[in-house]
Amino acid sequence: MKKLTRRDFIKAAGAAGSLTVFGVGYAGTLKGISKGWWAGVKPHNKIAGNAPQPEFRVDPQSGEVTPNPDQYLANTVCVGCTTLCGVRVRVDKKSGKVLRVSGNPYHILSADPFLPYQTSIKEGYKLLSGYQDSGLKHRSTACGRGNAVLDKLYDPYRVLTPLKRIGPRGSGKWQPISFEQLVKETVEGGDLFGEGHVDGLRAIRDVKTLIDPNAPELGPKSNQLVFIAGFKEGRLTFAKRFSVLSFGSINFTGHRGNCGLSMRAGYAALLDDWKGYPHLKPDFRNTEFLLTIGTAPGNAGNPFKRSGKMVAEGRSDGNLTYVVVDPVLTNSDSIAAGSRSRWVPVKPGTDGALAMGMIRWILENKRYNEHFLSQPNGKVAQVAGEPSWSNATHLVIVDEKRPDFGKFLRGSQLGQAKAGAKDTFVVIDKASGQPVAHSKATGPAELFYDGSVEIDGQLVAVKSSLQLLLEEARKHTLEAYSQACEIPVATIVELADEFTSHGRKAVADCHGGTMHSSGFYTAYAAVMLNALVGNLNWKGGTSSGGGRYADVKPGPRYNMVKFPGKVKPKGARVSRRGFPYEKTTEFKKKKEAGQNPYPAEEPWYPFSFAIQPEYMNGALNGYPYPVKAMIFWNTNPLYGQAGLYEAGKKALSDPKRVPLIIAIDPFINETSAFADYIVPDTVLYETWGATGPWAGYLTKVNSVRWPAVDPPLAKTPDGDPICMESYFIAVAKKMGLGGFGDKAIPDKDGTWYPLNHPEDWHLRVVANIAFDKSPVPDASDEEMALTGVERIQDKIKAVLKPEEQRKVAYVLARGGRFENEDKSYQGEWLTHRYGKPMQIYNEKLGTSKNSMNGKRFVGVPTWAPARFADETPLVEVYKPADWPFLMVSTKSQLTSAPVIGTPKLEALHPYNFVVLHEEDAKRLNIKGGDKVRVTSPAASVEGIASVRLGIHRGVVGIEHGYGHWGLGARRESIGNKVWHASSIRGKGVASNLLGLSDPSRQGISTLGGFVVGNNARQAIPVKVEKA
Amino acid sequence: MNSDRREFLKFAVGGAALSAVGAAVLPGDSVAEAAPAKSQHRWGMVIDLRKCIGCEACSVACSMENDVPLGEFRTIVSTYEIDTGGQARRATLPRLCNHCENPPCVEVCPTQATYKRDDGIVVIDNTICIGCGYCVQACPYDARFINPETHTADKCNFCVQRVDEGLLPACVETCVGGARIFGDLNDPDSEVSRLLQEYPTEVLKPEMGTDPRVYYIGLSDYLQAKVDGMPVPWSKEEILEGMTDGSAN
Amino acid sequence: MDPQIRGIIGITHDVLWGVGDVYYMFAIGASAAALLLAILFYAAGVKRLQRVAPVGLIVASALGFAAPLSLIANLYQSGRFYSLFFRTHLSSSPMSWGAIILTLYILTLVIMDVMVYTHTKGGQIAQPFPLIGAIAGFFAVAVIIYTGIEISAVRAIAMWHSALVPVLFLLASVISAVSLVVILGWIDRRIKKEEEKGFLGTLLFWTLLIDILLQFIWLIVFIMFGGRSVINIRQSVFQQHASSFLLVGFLLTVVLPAIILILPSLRRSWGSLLVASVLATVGAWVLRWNLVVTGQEMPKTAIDFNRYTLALTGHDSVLNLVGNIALVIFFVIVLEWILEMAEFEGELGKDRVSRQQGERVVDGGVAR
Repeated sequence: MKKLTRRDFIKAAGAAGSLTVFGVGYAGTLKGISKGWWAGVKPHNKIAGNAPQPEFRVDPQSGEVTPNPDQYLANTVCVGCTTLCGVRVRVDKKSGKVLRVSGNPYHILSADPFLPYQTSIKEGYKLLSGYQDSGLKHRSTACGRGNAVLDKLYDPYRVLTPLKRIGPRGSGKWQPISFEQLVKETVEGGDLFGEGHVDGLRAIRDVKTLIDPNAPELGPKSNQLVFIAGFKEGRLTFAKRFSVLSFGSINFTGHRGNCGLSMRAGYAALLDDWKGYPHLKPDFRNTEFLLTIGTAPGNAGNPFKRSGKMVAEGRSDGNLTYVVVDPVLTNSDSIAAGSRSRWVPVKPGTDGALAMGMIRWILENKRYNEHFLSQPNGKVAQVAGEPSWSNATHLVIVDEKRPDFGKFLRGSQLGQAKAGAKDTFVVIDKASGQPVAHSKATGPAELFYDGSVEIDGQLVAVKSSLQLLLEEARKHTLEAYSQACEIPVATIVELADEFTSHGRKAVADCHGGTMHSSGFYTAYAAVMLNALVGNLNWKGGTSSGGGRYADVKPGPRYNMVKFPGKVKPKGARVSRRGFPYEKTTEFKKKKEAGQNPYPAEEPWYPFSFAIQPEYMNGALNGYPYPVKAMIFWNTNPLYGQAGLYEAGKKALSDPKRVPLIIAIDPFINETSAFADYIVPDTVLYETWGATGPWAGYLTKVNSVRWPAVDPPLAKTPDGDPICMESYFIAVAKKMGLGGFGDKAIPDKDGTWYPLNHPEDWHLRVVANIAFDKSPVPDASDEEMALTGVERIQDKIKAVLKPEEQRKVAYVLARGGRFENEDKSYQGEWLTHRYGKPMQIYNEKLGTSKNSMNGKRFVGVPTWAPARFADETPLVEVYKPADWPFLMVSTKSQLTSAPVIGTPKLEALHPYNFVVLHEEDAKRLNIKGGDKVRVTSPAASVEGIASVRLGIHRGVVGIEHGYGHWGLGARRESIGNKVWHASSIRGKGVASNLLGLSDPSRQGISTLGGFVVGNNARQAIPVKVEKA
Repeated sequence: MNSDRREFLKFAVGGAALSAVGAAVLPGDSVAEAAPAKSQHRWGMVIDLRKCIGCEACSVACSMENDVPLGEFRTIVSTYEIDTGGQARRATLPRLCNHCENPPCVEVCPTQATYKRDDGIVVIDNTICIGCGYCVQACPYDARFINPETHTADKCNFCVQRVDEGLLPACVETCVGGARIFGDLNDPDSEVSRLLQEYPTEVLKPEMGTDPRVYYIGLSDYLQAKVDGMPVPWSKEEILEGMTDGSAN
Repeated sequence: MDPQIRGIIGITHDVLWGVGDVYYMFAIGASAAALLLAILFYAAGVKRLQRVAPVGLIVASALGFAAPLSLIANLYQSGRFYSLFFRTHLSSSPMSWGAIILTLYILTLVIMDVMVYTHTKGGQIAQPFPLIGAIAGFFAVAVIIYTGIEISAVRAIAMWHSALVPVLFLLASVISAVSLVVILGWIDRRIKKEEEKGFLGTLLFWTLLIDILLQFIWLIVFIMFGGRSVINIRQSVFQQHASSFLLVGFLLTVVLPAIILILPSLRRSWGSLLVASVLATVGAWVLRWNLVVTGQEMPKTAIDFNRYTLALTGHDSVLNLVGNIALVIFFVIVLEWILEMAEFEGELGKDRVSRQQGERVVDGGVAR
């Protein structure tokens, strides 16, 4: 052979080199190949992949059901949003993991028709299957959120042990602590953070000593604990038992003031109940014309799924036409529904003008339901075939000089009735033309009356309620209303015409879109339309709900509200709600000093309810009294209350303002980030709870939640998961408060039972439900096995009496107790009817004053443009020339507070946009996808523009629920571990950062409704520019 | 038979004999073993767009039921804002595998890993699929993807594991508006058959000759094929990236 | 009037076949066409190509051996590639045919290599082997056609589904084969005769000319004036991707090399021939890229175009590509060496020696 040459060597080197490069380049491939047949993860099944075995099998011929022994299907309740639908949770027995969630077929909020209550669990399986297509009819659903939310059980950013802050407040530095330490420190206080002495709960709980002896109306020192919760998800009554009835603080609130208080207050005014705050929803199935103002059925609102289902059905197979009045087009609409669905764009904050325009047209054109309105009382109305009645004909004293100005004329004033509780109102009898006590009238009364009656020899000017409404509606022309709301006059007339063309089957509803500073009157005006057609309690009309069986009540088995040491809390609330300013020492002192008592230092809300925003403002301002401790439970006002974060973050970081903040929360949200202690909590299907639908149902419904899966939480020494209930039980017992411990719950015979574990409470609540009216049947072993109720059999046996056990299990197995659907109607009337008359004029409203200017509120719906607390119009301070846009937050079908950080939803809809109308965008030279800056007088945010036509001109639309800076979007250090922020959880824009403060107020404030103090999170003046 | 196939076969005839010999000689289990016994069913779906509220319950339920990796969807409700001149409207369009009578994906699969069962459900055998992606290319409906975890082709299979046990597909079970109706097209009394008789229905891209077994009530022609307009600004990459940068516990 | 549509919820889809698949189509096309060139000499005895043929065979073999690895690498279940042979779908899957055709093609390449090795005597082959050549030629043509059909059979992708696609693939294959033979022939100094260069230059020129015509027809007639169904292709080709389709894919890499080669004298000059060859090679690549990747970028249902991001490592990545090209280089070195061994053992052994000394060898003689 020849000898190797240099050239050969180069070639050999080249060959070796290239082979090496090849090796590097193909290492991955070779590795893949080396794995053999499965380069990826091998799924369980060659066709079905990783889909688990079905939960049961139904023979297509015989319909025979064969359950899967490895799984159980727990009927419980979803907490993915405030609707609280009944769901069916499919759990793998071996791993204890939730596989999937669908609807509870017995539950009205998930199924239509829902299964008759006595249907066996197994029969239900058959009905849900493909057998004879029955599953199509009986399908019970979970929405996108409801399907995805189970991921929150396994959220890596979940708090599993008690945490104590070790850095400055809000710094994100935490130390895990034991349950004992948590209870000890929060109860006893001390120098907890090396920042000086902090009062513990024991020191704060003083139900005798007044906060301020000079202002006794503020109540005892125990009021210096403020408890702020999310919503009535089924455990709120337990929290209330602790903080109100045992601890004795009057400061206890849910989230309503940030959510839909304006709507609720509008209905409260209409339905004359400032305590229960009831509200109406359409009897969807039979409604023919639905007008929704500031809410979009099927896109948002409560009950989300049921209204979605009913709208879908109504617009296709049914008879429904609906119009959504909203600045932003949503999924309420579908082009496939043709003209059955319409969207009417409106300028934010002005929907009240539309409603008042419609009211004016309806009254002037006599399109109201005279038969309904002219009934003077409930009895006469019933005889006349009306299931409800109104005060349209009741006379109101309109002489401004009289002390009883604004009050209804009473029968006693005419000598027709006795003064006091049984006093009557007065109407002008149509037949005789004479004033007569409403209860004595036997036929229709005058609708429009403007005259005078003689009282004690004096002629006093009076007007009927409807007359007052007419006059208020006539304050502006249709053109003026149209100009205000930017809806053409023709459309206003068309809507009014259409609304009054369907008899009792036309319904008007509203919700969160009215959460602006004039939201109360907007809502009152919108829901007043229902009174004008007299649809209350009618099939196809409105319903206040079907009610529920006794739960946290003095029930048939246990009295859940009676215990030794129960406190009746007293005094004014920090939120100043439900308390007239005129009764305060502040008012009296100013008056005595000869000063004008108005304005109050901060607004008071005489008939308002659950104003979370003012609890926050009040606590941070220390007005009307300083707050020593706050407990947040599953709530997040720093994100949910428009304007609070910018206005309040500094004050909240200062431990001197509120010395002790405890958050009971499974996650670290924007609010619990400021906590001193975080108490973990159970999530979703791990929890107990007894609740019911909010509205939109006609039969009795009790939704019951029970631990269908085990929580991964640390345990108390007693073996319970560390959660809201176990924390309060331990605190109450340590403090020796009543209502907890060994002698806590009496049964019907007065025998006492303990409350030492969460189930001691919850199972007894369910026992009440099971035995109310006629007791439910007993659950079989099979049903308990199929539904997983057998998992908590030990607890049932330990807590309940033998005769209760299987009945409670029956309720648990079905996720609640439900009256059958055939009880919905009695002929053309609803079975469960609302009893009070509809208030065309609301006396309490019309006789109350705005504490910030001393002006009386108008007692009927009126058109009130946006204003500050002292009623200075917003446009006078924030001129449209400087702030040319109005920002509204829009509701998402996919996002809600409890589902932030669920990957399946993030993948579908990772963040929100700044939505602009095409014409506005063009003017600003903004294109879809551009980064834009939205600036309000309070703050500035940046987001990605989405340019659309489905938004009113001059409006910036921001979908609510995105742009978080907590809940995993922020870095937290926990002991020696670090939670690194997840960027997707922070993506998008948080509309509430743009919320305003109220310059007419002195302290820390967020703009609120001037009547009821609802948080103004809509119609925020802003400007937009390219970022 | 469509023209491509004809075109292709002409060319193919030459090598057929040779390859057939090769195929016969080489070992391997028969594909037929995966197919169920003769079925008298022909499963199909009618989607009544009037009843779809775009809530994506179906998309998520499917993802949960079938353990679909993040970022991929076997079904999704495409949602659009439509302006037909003056009035903006919303439109939703649930998309899924159409379980075509003539599935082009099945035609091109080189290993017969994907096939149409007797009952019309087009499935993929993940133990055979080589992950070439040819079926993904061939599907006119973007219904297929390569599963990043199993490394095999993936798509809606009408929840075959449920349907075979007498249950409904997950998306149908959880359809809030009741828009998804699933059943036996061979059964004249079934709900799907009744709807097909009662209503005019459309399929997606009829010009493809695929003969889908997913029918739509109320489908606008401009949504029937590729949709033209302005896209949603987010991308899958962006989403997946944002999901993976954090960590806890 | 068509309504304005805006996406509210939607997802983008992946471009599945990327750089590795483009490379495979490019490489296997070039390989097959280069083999055809070699066969003209080895099987049909076209004397003019005596020195071109070995270069062609090396190009064909190196690319032919390496390229299929890129295909296997791009399978998501690479370890299952061999199942293509026992789980066939010959009734309707072009890819199933492709697997067999490709295998047989590679087999014939090996046989050709062995035949050439064993029959080479003094730079010549003892005698042409028409039967084996014909079989190899058949599979070479089959490979080119199947790659084209594999793409054009996909009705779902509008840009792919055209009868012109296989023809464009064929032309691109020939163009790239000729160009690569020119380039390798210059590098390994096998090609030097004016006559050889002229032949290759002319072949390249005319192929490019036909390509211009067909691409013109494709771009203008099919895409520009096509009906509704190609509306997105038009948007893509004439707007989004105008530079890669019209400027790079057409003007710079097809028209420009053709212009360079217009004058017969330039076809014989190394400088112009090499420039044209490099450009034309790029063109053959870009054609595949444009068709395969851009074709997938066009949405089938969604509003938005899918976007392809070139991965640096991992599945279907630049690293993969570099690895495969390295393997090609390895094969070129090895094949060159083997061929030289064959030649060394024959009468022309001195050629090798003289070439090593930097001398130019002409037809058995020594020249300067």
